[in-house]
Amino acid sequence: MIELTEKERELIRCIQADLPDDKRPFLAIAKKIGWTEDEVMARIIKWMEQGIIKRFGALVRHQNLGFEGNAMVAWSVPEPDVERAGRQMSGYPFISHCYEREIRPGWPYNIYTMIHAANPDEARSLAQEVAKDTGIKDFQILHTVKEWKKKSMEYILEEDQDV
Amino acid sequence: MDDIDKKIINHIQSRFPVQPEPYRAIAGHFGMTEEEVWLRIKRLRKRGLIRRIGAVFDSAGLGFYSTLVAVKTDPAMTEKVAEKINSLPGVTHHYQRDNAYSLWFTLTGADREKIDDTVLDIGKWAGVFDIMNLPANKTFKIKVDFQI
Repeated sequence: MIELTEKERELIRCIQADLPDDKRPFLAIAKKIGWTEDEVMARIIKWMEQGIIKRFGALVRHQNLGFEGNAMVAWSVPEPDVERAGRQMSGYPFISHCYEREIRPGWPYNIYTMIHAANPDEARSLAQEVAKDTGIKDFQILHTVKEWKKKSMEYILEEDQDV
Repeated sequence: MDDIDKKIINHIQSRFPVQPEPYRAIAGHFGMTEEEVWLRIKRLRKRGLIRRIGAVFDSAGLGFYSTLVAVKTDPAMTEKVAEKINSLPGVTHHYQRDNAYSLWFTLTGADREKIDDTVLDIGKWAGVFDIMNLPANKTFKIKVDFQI
């Protein structure tokens, strides 16, 4: 973990959670941790510029918004094609995440994509479309059967215990 | 949810204004009143369509280590194992999928050694046939806002 002051840890604890129910939320946070509103906003903006904060905004609940067909698709891509296939797959608007991971014994899949679709059939046909376009024919669609947990990471816990 | 709600959600997913009066700023963008924007967002939060407004940190940027874990379970034990996984700190996204590797979750923590130890430990649980620790070698894309 990067070096943080106690004040910075308090700020992270506030903004990793839901914004206060206040028309001046940054002032409310500032009062809570003993900073000025300007200091709070400046630090958030600095962390955004540094890429420590990827974005600051609303997180929506997809299942409530018509993405019931979300699926993970694992692709078996020959080593020389990984870069090309990874970039090509990232170009689809319905693919939200694309990672390269190592293969494991009995599990030859090295590229992982999250496909967002309205239902499982649509997810299947989108995966077929990607397979046809990229020439990567060996893949596994892993449909979501149940969401066990979905929450934002708590980097700094209340009790200050290590994660 | 009407078209105005959708416009507001799409706007504030990636661009919630970091300004003293963010709701007034959003209202200005759409030619609405602060009160109307405030009430609409309040309703969307209450209904759970917006689950949180805040910062999305880059784990690696904060110096955290994160991996994807896949667990092959005894089908009779899947639920028990899933509940136990859910109770571990650092588990954020956890899904059951239609595969012999039935449980897939992300595990994030302050250092790699601890994460690897946790994965080895889960591998010894009753009902766990196999476990794969799959950290990303390369991230091609992470897109977290969805136009609705």
